[in-house]
Amino acid sequence: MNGIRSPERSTHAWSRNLIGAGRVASLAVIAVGVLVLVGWLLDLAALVRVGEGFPGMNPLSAACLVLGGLATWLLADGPEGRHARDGRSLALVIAAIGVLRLAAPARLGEPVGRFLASAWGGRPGWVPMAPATAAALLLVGLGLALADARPLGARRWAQALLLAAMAPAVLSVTLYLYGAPFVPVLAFLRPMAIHTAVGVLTLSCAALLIRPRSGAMAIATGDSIGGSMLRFMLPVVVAVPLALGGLSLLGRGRRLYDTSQGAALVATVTAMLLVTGLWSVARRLTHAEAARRRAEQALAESRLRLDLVLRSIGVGVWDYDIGRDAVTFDDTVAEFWQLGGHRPVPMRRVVDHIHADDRAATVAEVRSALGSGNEFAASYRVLRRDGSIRVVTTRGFVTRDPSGRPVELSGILWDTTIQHEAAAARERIQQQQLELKDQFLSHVSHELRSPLTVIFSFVEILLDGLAGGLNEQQREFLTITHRNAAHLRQMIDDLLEVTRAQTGKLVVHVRRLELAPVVTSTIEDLALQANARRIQLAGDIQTDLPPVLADPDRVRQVLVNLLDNALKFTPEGGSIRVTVEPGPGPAEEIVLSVVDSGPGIPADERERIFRQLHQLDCGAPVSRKGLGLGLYICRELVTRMGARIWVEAVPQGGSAFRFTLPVCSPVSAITSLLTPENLERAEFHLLVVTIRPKSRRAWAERDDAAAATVFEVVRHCTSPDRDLVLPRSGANADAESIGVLACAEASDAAVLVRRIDGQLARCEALASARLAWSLSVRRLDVGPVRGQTARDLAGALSSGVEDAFADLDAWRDAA
Amino acid sequence: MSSSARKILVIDDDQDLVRALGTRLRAEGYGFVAAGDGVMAIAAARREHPDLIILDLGLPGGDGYQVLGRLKTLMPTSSTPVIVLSAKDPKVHEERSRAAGADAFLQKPAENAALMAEIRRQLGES
Repeated sequence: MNGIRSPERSTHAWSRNLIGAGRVASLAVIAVGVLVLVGWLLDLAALVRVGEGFPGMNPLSAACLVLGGLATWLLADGPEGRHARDGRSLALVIAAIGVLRLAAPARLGEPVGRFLASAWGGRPGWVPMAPATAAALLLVGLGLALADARPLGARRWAQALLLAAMAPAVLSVTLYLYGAPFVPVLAFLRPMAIHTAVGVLTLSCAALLIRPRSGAMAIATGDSIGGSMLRFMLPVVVAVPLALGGLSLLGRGRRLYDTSQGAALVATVTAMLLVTGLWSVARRLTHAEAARRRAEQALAESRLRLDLVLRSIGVGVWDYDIGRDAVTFDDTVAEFWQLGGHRPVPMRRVVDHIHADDRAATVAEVRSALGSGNEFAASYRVLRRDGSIRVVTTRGFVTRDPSGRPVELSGILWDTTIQHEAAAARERIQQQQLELKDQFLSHVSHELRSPLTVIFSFVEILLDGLAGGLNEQQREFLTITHRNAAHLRQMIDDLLEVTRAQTGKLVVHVRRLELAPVVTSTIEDLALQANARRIQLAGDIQTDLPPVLADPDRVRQVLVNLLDNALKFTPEGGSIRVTVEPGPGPAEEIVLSVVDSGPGIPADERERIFRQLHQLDCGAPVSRKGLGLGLYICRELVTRMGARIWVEAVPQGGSAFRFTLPVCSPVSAITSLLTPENLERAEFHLLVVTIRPKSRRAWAERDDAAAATVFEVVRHCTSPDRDLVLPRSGANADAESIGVLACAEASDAAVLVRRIDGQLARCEALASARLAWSLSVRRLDVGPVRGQTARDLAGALSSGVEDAFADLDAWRDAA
Repeated sequence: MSSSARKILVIDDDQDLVRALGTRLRAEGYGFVAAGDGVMAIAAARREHPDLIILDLGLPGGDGYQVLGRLKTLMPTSSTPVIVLSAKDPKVHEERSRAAGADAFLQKPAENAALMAEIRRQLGES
């Protein structure tokens, strides 16, 4: 549903057409005036008087017609048009000329005429301006000048004047039609020249047409029943008397009846026609009235029904008049908002009743609807006088004026406390269920491990020959048993990890880590299994790799998982290669790959295999399939370490499982601290902690054990899941004395620093007494986060770390 | 320097596992004593003076940590190394056991090699 706009009074195109017609008419009038003036100048009698024996147009009248047409043209642009003021001035000139002529003798302008006569010689006889013309010009001039006057009444008068101006013209035309003598007894009955009359009529029409939406014209051009009646009746009301007048004269001329009989006939026929017309109009108006009454009735009924509905379901209605800052509302709403007293109330009082926490959001929602939308919806809490809190939902729409400005906001509201509470309760239950599931699985896996331990122990005892020798077959069967027990153990572990992932309890402890030893030892661990199936397992680790920021146990876990899969799905005699190399892109990362010579994974499965419970349908024996959780867990772990895992096809037909790990640098370390949870806290600080010996000589003489102690100190003092000791570029032992910690509140920072201090004191006692430690802490301001990625922010903050390194260098290099 | 001088006390209520561990430890040349609950455990420790204790946290009555605490405070055993061998979640219980004085933590089921290596390490053997 769109917002409501106030309806336009008449269609835009229609009024443009009328103004256009007005312009055309004014041009015609100018043309007539100019032609007559030309006739006067060039002594063309045909132009001055239309025919022999007819009175001619006075040159002043002609000039006035030109001016009048010009004035109308200028005013056609509208009351604020560029030339509107000029147009009004011209109109006043015309009116002035009319007044002068009416007040002054008939020979006004004669000196000009005589001058013209002397200049060009041989003129048609002077034609004075008819008083009718003067009156008409006066009325037209005033009408045009007042057309845009401020008071509405003045504008209506202006239109009345323009209509009145038509009277002398119509009279003149009628006199001509009826063949009246040109020199009458009464001065006002002397007709204007025929073209003057037509010109004046056209001018008045033009003046009325250029303001089609003002006053009387609005009614004439409007959609309403009045307008259509007017348009229907107007020609009739004008034509009928003229026709009757003409007919009566005709009749008298033909001696059908004499004057008084003719007059009686005219009077009767006119009266009858008027009565018929009047009755017809009355009938139409009555029908219109009846239709309106029915509509009103229907409206009242539907209003009652709406009221009933609203009251039954407890929905309230409110209205906000923006211009007057007044909110009106019914009793239901008054009850919600707890607003007693007078209505309407200013919006401010309504906003005050919204719960403080919800106020900003609700106001923002309303503002955005007023700005560019049409509807709005909001839910907010209301704190009631008795201390209870209810949740209220409101929906509304905007009404705008024709220019698009919002004038009114209307809406409904109803109580949704129960729904909100239900939703909150559902969430709580879900959380509880997850907790229960976690506890259950914990308990189950714990119980499952105990008998599994016994199985392992005895199988190993048997395999080690501690219960006597084994023949080939016994050994083989026991080996199979052992392998399946290991498989079972893996599945139990997976189950537990998955639940942790879902309840958010899967944690990774990232730290600076050298990959080479981890990868090498993992490969060694699995060498036995590979040899048993005659699969070549080799590692290809690039030298001089920078350390990464990762959890060593988890990296091992992922690698073991991938290698296990590779071993499962690679046929006997195949090969598996583990490569570790720097990543290709701009982001500093290391890519680990496990490439096998197995059957490969079809393209449409490559994303799905990372989902829970997915098992590849590629013909591997059932016993090797597992629970299908391994890759899902891998992805969860890798993601929590800030990295990615994916699979690619290998040209020779196998698969390459790859995952990245971020290079350990101040930027990646800080990035890992800028978790979404941390950034949403009200207060959040980063501390750069530098620990160094108090004496430079001791620093130069430090050994690996001392360095490791420092490492451990910083590690033990940081938040549980992130301990970050930073390298510069490269594996520099220096680095292990600077760490970055995150803490949520300023008081946490103080506590952390105290703890580190305490630990340092213990180090003095336990480790080399020569080394007394010094601790310095620098706080980094995280600052506004809008629009920045964690990585960008970390980049900006890493200068704090660089400064700490610089300080350390400066201290060390000082003599 | 024969390892037969070394006596290991295993505290676990799982009879089967005790049997398995016993077989394994004897085969490796260690002396072996077992206890199935907290009370028996303390008594056995006092009586046998073991060189190493392997403790399961899931003892009946839920007093695995209590036993650990007592072992570490009572005179004869306060300096005896204790390896906790438990099915419980290491993420929670490793920290906790170490804080309570345990010298090592292994999760069940532990690799035989890993367990033996840890035992040797705790006994100071190569």
